[in-house]
Amino acid sequence: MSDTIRMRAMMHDGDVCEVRSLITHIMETGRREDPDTGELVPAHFIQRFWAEHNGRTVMNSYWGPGVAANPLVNFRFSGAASGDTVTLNWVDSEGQEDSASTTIR
Amino acid sequence: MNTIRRMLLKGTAAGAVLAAGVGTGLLTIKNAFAAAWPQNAFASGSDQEDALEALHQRADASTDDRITIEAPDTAENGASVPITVNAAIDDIQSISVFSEKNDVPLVAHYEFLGENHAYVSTRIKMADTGNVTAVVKSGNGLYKASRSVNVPVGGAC
Repeated sequence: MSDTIRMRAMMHDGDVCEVRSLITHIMETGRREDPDTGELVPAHFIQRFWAEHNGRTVMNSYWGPGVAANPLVNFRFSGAASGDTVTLNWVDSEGQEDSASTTIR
Repeated sequence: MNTIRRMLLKGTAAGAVLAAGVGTGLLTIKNAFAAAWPQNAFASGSDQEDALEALHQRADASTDDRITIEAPDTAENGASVPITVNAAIDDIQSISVFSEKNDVPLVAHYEFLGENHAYVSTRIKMADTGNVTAVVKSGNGLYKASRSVNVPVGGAC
């Protein structure tokens, strides 16, 4: 089980699968001042988030600091069937990463 | 970046110099991990045209009503504004989402394997009242739609 990714994948229409995900991440922009020290909090945000369907990348995204903290991402892709596997992956600006898989319902 | 990584992996003299650069903070190792992240498209102080040039080598997107953006008229909190992009266009290769008043206007760039009717929903930071724009690439075309969102309390961006 992933500590940072909560996801669901379900058939939407025909062979289209809808993936709904919530990721736990601070998404720090690097432009926010620490209220205690007055110093800028270093940037720390997810830079790449991608999805694999049965091992094949079907969606690949690049993010900047403008994605809200604890990101929500819902998207759809085609060519799916119930019972297939969907994997989500992220890598952030510090090289930290996580991934999670689920079965399409 | 791939060249740099190969040099590091092969342990050449140039790689050693680069590794020294990493050690002294001249280069950060995180850049080596995020090899494909389009840094120029996410530059601080850039505008939408700069980002589109960096992503697509062109910036001439035409307004297209097949793209719809769902967003609140007024954001309760600029730190987290829900937006949904639907594009009833065939063979979509990518959707890019912008918030024009942000220091980094490009929020996210999603690539697809030639989807029809691509859909993506997320939550974004908005620094101030302004347009949210989605730019869709399909074939040789760039298409866009915008929607104004009132942001009384901007997010830290």
